[in-house]
Amino acid sequence: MKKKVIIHSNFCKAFTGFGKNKKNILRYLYDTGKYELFELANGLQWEDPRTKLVPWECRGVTPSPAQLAALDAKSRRAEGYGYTLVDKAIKEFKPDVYIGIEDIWAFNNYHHKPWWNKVNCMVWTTLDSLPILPQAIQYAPKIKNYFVWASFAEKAMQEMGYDHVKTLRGSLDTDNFYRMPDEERGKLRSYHGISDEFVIGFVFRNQLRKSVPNLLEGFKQFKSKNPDSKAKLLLHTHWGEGWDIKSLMEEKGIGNMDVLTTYVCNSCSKYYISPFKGQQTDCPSCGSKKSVNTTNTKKGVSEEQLNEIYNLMDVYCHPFTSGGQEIPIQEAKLTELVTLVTNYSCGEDSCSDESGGFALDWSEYREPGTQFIKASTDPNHIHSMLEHVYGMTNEEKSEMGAKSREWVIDNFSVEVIGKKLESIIDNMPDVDYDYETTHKVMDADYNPPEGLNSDEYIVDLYENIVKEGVDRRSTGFKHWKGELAKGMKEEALLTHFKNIAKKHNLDANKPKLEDLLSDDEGKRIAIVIPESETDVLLVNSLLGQLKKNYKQYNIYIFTKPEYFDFIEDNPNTHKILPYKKELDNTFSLEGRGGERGMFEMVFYPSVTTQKNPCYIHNGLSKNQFSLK
Amino acid sequence: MSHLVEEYAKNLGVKIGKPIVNQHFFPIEFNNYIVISGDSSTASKTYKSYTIVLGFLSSFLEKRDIKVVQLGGDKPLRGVNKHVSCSFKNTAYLVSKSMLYIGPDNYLAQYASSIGVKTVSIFGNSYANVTKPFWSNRQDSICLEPDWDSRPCYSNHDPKDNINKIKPEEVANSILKLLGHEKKVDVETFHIGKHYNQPIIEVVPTEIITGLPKEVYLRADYGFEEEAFMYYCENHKVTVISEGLIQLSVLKSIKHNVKMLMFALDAETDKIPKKYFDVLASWKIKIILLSEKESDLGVLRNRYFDVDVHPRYKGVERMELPDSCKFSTNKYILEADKKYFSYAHYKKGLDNDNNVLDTPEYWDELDHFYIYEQKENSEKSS
Repeated sequence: MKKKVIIHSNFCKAFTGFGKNKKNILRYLYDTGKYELFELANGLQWEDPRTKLVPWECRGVTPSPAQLAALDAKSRRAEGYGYTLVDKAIKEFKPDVYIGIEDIWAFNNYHHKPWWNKVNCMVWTTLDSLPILPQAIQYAPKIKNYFVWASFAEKAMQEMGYDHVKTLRGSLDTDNFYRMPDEERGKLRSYHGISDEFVIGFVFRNQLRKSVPNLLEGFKQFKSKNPDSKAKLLLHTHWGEGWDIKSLMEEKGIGNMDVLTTYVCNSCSKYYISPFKGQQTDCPSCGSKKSVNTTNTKKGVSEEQLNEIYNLMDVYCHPFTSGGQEIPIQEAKLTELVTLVTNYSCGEDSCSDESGGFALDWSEYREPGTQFIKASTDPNHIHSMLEHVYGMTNEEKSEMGAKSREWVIDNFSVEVIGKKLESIIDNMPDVDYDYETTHKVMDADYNPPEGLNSDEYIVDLYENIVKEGVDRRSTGFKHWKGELAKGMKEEALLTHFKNIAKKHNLDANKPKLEDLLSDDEGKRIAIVIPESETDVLLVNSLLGQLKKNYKQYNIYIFTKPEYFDFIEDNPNTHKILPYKKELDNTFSLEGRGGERGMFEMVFYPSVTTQKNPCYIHNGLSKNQFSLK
Repeated sequence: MSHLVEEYAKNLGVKIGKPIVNQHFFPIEFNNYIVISGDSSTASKTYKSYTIVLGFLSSFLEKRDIKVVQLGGDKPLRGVNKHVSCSFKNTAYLVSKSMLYIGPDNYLAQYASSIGVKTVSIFGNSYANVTKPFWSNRQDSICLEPDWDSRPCYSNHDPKDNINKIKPEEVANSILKLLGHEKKVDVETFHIGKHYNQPIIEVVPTEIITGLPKEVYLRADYGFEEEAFMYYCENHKVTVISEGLIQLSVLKSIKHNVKMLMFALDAETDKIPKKYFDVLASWKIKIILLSEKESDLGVLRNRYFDVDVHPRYKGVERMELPDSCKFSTNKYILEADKKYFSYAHYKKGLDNDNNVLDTPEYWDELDHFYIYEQKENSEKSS
């Protein structure tokens, strides 16, 4: 029987690093004919028509925009990565293998899922900085098959004792990038107005983690020391986001003609290389008005065009603060360019001897907030390495370029990565799981047995109250062990764990409404009816009797603004206010214990009709009393 | 019964009154009119056969000078006299002056009911008992439900599309009844295809036909003459369906008018070079490949990963129908001075023929057909 494999990441037709990698490996695995494949696509809804047009079963796992809008920011982020719908997929497809390919925070709380590690679970994630993100470390003992895209992360995790973390690089379709014959390159350069200029290229999304100021400084130094090189810097990026490149050039006294960029026409898709001359210009090719912009995520060049752009360059330089894989470096190597890459994070892989690239020196700085180590690439070293490459003979460059290409094919090609993945999947054991997904409920009533030592006591609380295993190397375990050693009573630790469990189970939010209410404390009734037209209109029909019943009270209606029309004319209302999710907490609104609450009475008529429709009874139920 | 408003009344512990809404005047030039809800925001409550209903009623309404006003919806339905999109309070005014409301079980039905306007309500995602117009007397309100073969879906999307199982003649007869007319529409509906309302004109490019709409489908797979083909491509926005690949050199001169190309192939067909698709993309021509064999679909989708690949034939099962059944469609095939209502008719040379044909080609286009049987003494034929 074929192994059932779920692969969960960006949609395979999305133009993102994750999307391209997923497309490559799914197509590879499909061609083996060995697996029943199921794709889960972040960013698409469950039955999105696009999911029907791939060779394998596919479902979107992101809720609709309306559903997302009803969530708080944290839940919205989690659901964007398919936190809930992945459970539905597991139940429906009953996989042997689940492979999640995303940033590590996409898998937040996955270890709480009842199916986690009951089916073979693999996380294949990008980590970009040191020290390794605490979440990535915290999850290490909970992820049996843990793969990272760059070897520096594997090294760091292994140093912490997590030997099972391995490197599996993101796959590349190596056919799209190659060195064009010299004659063709010459023609191409000439077409774009480049003759004997020394072209230094950088392909990147204009984000602050790309070290543009450092590169400009290094370029400036190189150009002033080597005027004969007629050096040009080709920045294939969007000038309308991130770094203000124009201002940086002015600041450093770099002439406008010395920095080239890529323009693309929205209408005919042709591209042009030229100095920066603003955005929304007219297309010289198709004549479309205001259709030409610097390349960007909405309208970029095709892979074929990008290959041409690499072929315009004499050297590729990629200074950055940190990154997960930095695909343009590999693309540049495939076109047999000599590459200069910051020797940090995933860059370590690309500037080793065997990779056929040169390292750029850097200094450490710390990112505020996260405290992550980030690299500031040394402009002087950029200058000296550019000089070094400029001084190389064509034969030397050619030999190095060929080595670079070979290294990328050996380490990143779909065939190599696909084969490795195939082997990982084939070596996974058979699954014995019933796929009945339920949400984890923590046990706030659990009491541990007597006679446990402190280590066993902590493990027992994790396993039986929080319902998850704990790694004795984890900061959580070490912290509590230290607290017990310092004299904390076991009962106090037990109470703490029970409170966590209660909080987890309640998941309560406290609303803040005071500013919206009149000065009528003690005389307020709220009716919370979030939507929609019919329901609000029907509630409208009840207000006359409600007011008769509670003459001294003011009636507040909470509904979405688009339904105000359906109730606002009723003179029995005091105020119509916009509904917010935080209103779905009866105790906060009516009060409990020491909390006074803002309303004397809060009615949630839609709880039994919309939230949990339990009034329908197939249209058969009867009342023994008249409601008319 | 367990009506929605009763649930709300129980929750609030009160008896049910009536909603209070200040109607806002909206100018309307008709004295006698019925209103029809055109809202299509909830798929499971969207009835797609109003056009057929209005077709049944047109002579009756005309004779009595009763107009049809559509409230809401993106586009006017065929057969309505006025399409109005306005606020709820304007709509409330229009409903209050109308003779009858027709539509799903929505707020307009409830509002009409609360002010004594007659209602024909069409249910698709819940039982009528639960959300029927609450305040209406039995003689002023008709609720139409599908024959439930499972529980209602109670959601916005109904995979069974139950609402559209309600036959248009039932809706038409309910309207006639509430307007006090005894005669009935005597048509029996057997099938309404899900694309029936979608107008499609297919032209076989063997001769030149003038006066066609701007957009047409060119069936080069049914017949081909270069001169006619080029005429259509130069004078119309076209979607071309062909048996095989059309050379780029041919497409180059007509690329501005070609919206989409569709052609058939199988797993043995020579691989189409990527360059071909790139050039079409640069010309903004969408391409769809049609797999001749169902079994090749996966292979072709993987081979042409970035292109949409669909099965060419759907293999729709035949229906058992009485011999006297007729059909209508909004999808025509035109060739020279002939008009065919299906590919099956085209293949047999049966122009202007609306008899049902029992051939695989006929059933394959079932999504585009309305199939009915005309009884005698009807109000009006379809």
